[in-house]
Amino acid sequence: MKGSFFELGLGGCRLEDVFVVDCHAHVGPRVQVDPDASLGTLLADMERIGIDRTVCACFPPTMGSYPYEGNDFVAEAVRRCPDRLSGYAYINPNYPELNMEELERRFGGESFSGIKVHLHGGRPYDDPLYEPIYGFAHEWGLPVLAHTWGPETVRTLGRMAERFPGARFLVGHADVCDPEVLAEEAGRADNLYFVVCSSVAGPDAVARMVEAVGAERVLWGSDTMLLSPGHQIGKVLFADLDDNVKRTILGGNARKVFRL
Amino acid sequence: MLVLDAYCRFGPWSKRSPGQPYDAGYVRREHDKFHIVKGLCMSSESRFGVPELGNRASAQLSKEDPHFIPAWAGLGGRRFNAPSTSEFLEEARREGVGAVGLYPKTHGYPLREWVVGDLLDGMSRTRLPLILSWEEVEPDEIYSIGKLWPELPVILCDIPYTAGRTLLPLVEENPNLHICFAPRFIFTGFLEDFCCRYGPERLLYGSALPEFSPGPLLSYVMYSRTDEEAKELILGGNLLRLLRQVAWPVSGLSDLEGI
Repeated sequence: MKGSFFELGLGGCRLEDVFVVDCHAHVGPRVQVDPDASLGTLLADMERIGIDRTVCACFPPTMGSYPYEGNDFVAEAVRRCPDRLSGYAYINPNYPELNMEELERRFGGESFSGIKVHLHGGRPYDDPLYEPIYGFAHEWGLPVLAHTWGPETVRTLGRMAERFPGARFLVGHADVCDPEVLAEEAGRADNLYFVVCSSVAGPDAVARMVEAVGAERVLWGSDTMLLSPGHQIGKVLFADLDDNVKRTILGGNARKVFRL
Repeated sequence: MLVLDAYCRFGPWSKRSPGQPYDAGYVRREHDKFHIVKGLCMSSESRFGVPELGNRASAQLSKEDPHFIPAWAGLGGRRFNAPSTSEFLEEARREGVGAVGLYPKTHGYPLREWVVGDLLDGMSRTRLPLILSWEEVEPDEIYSIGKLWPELPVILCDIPYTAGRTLLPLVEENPNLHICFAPRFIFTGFLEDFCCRYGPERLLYGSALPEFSPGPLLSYVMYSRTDEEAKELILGGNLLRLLRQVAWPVSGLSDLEGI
């Protein structure tokens, strides 16, 4: 690797000789905004920046004709690019009658890598309807990426991580949360990881996260194809952290969490 | 590559996060760290408080450090014991102001022709860019300004990434509308698609300092799949062009004469 990550980011240079995993991404159509969400664009951005692997979910609440059509988009993308893409199976607690079958299908028949959950209708992550989902992740030893926004959702997820130690819980958008809360929850459950990924975090958010929970618990995600990965990777490249720590955040930790 | 910051502030503001630096020295240090050559800089007092006080501070800052190009906030409506529009613009000329922002929700007036018409007439005549914040104006108001003052350059900031479906018709209807994507109009493929459809001339880099870091917004441009010429325009060329079109010499630009 020539030059520091800071310099590489400043020059917009492709990241070489470092394993980079985007562990919070989306593919397929979505509501409200119109990013160019084609698979070609995703791969072009990965190539431009030097992202080795992207773990992607559909855009909730894209449902199509049945609740899990979005997962079909992901399955197709992963099938086409197995060496570059991994998939989260998006599971909605409001469809309990379908969820076990969906999980069996995505993890038994297809090779999805994790579960994605979102706060649907404000249903908190300790609602009993999530328990079969977490139970499945616990049994199968899967990562569960959860959309969070602020301390309450992080605390709730921390409690769930404690209850389901076989799963690895990923706190999405952790950089918008107070680092003190992150530190408390990191202390509660060592299967809880924190993903850098948001449009709003302040200038020193990543360094503060690392200080709060330790570098080995922080992963990088972009939220592409919603937010630009070029923007999101700057948060790590320009953070006031040692390059070895940045290397760990960019991909080293994801290698362990996703067993890549 | 010449990098100019179209959107930064200095000075305290009420919603500051504890521990967050806000003085001009911090902004300058961050600019230096990221090789940002100039900043079009407004006082937080102008933006969120009393514009006259903040405008004075940004004029003074620019005199002390020509790295900073003064951006002022204007006020709509009539007020007792306040300078007239012509006096305001004359003072802006004397201080080499590079742009004026209007924040009608914060400062308490409607952004309508009968309230701000004389100010926007004057700004249009002098080609003094108008800064608007998406948080402070309605899309209809932006549309109307573009129609009533087509020569007036407008710089629109604070656009949420969910605003694309409203923004694009505005861009098409208002040829002098410029998009500063700071701090979070950062959705996938936006720069590439915008350049492809409209060209790069209406896109402006901003840092949103001190609330945000200049870095991710910089890497947003640098890692975009746009050509080098587009990047140069977005990062500095477009702002420089707008500032050079102002009817008076803008403070802080003299050392960029050869560029």
